[in-house]
Amino acid sequence: MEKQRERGQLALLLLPSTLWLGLFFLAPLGIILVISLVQRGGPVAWQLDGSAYVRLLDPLHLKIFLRSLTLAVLTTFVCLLVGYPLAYYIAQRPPRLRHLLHFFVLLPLWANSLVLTYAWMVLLRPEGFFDSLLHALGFAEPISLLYTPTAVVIGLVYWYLPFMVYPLYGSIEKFDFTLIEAAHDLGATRFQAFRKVLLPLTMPGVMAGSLLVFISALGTFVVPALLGGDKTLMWGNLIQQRFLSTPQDWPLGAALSLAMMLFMSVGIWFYFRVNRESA
Amino acid sequence: MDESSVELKNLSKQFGAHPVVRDVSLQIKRGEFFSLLGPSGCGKTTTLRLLAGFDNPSSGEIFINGSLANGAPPYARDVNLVFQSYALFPHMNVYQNVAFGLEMKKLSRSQIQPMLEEVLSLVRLTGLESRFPKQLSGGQQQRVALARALVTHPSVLLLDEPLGALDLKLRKEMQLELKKLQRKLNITFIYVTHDQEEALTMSDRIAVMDHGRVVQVGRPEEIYEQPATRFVADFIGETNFIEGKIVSCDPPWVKVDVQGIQMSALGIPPYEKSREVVIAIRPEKIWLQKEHSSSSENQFTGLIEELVYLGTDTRYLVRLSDELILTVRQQNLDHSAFRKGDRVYLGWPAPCAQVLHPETEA
Repeated sequence: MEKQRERGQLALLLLPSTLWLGLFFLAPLGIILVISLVQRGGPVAWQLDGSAYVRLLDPLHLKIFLRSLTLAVLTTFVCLLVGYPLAYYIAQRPPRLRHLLHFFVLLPLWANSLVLTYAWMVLLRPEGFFDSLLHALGFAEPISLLYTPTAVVIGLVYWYLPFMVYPLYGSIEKFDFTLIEAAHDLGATRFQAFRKVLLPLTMPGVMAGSLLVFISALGTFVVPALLGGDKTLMWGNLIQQRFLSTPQDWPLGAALSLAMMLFMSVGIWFYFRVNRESA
Repeated sequence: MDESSVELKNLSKQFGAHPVVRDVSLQIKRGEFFSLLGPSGCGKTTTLRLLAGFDNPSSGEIFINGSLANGAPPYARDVNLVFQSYALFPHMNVYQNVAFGLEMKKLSRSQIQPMLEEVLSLVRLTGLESRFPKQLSGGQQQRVALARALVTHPSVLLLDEPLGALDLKLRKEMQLELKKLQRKLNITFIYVTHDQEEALTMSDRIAVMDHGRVVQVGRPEEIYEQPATRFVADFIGETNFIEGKIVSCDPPWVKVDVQGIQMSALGIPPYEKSREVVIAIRPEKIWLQKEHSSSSENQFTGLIEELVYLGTDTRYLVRLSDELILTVRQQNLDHSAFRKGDRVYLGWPAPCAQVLHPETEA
């Protein structure tokens, strides 16, 4: 009796999350899976067909996939390079100043990201802010960063930096700085203390931040669409175009989506495996 | 100069406007077990950190092995610190923790191995090389911290309350073990503690600190038997403080009037008559008797107000007059001890009572 009631309560408690996951994750996933397995045309013809997966293997797709991978890795790397010192700096400040710095890190997330990306277009375009600045400094050649891979990486780093800073801050803040003193005392220079003590002990933060930024950057489409132009398409743009631009090909779009999800799932599985081993 | 391992000259440190270490000058001999003793906030740990190089002095000089160490980074100093929290690297096992200092010195594995075996057997940790810190007991962690600091053969070992986290029994064992270790290795130990018993047990010399200053430096028995100030007498062990006025002076003896009762005590002249002074006397130096003793001049009568049985001895509160109650400790040698309300005779050999300068009170 008692047990039955407990079970009923548990089911009731799990109902919202089950509904949420079912309606907004599993059902769309199922729809995508179904669409990937039918014929294209108008936008889909309900006829079982696996040819979308053949079209998926187009060498052009491989090229775009490799580009997405490169840009995502580069973004993650730059975020790490910028985010680690920033997180370290914040963690070392007195508590009151920390709150203010947190606020500044989060600030870009509060504004509309589309508007912010347009702002970057203004900054990066020819005769924009950076071009004028370089010109004033004596560089004669006009440069345009807009519609280059560099612009995409700048935009992505700008978008995803908070996702790197927070997990890093979490591990650095928990870190016992006496350990750094102990390392110095035993003869370690600042760099050695960082490499042998601080970095290994904040590795969970590095891994979590990198995973968040990498996954997000890999699936992005707004930043490359606005800052990358036609020449720097990423996987996300490819998916978007197959659904919304001509030539429309929903089954291919669905297959592209599933391929990306599969790739990311493998990445996340690998992350958890590494994490479990080191714990 | 050749003799001293560490020398501090007029060392001061302030954080903002707050002085933490004030004008500390000390000479610590090679191979000496030297303790910095004082209550929390007295500046002892800061002094140690200045020695290790984690903080820079606001003024004054630090000499290690005769050369000026001011401004030298911690990794360039021939001193190692055993941290209060041990600060063991949690991601390294015992072997890696202890080998850390040697690896930083760029020694090869074949050079490290024998040194590591030696130091681990010294601190009795052989066989635990592959354990991680969290898999060790508090006492074992403490030993790893010790081994890690000793393996590089520093000329000075700094210890910041290293036994503070251990339980009483283990702490007593480790006190003796540390002392033995220090004798064997003949390394200068500078030991920070707030535990007077610990300092008395282990030290060759002790510097008592209060409010950033060194109040007294001396061997344990000097600190205990001849405290320089009321602070030292109060901090180290238990002391009766008796306030009175000087009646007469016959160097080195001083006769003091305490509410009509006259007492003799040891004092350094000159003392002018009717000046107010404080006499310090340890509870265990006072004898208690049921009968009058004909031979003693410092003899008084009192009433036992309260007694506390402490196992090896009993603590009595004896009232001599309306406003004078003394604490007396007597070893429990027989069962014919005193009872509450007993009239007793008490007194002490005059050399055991000491007149303190009022102006040197902390």
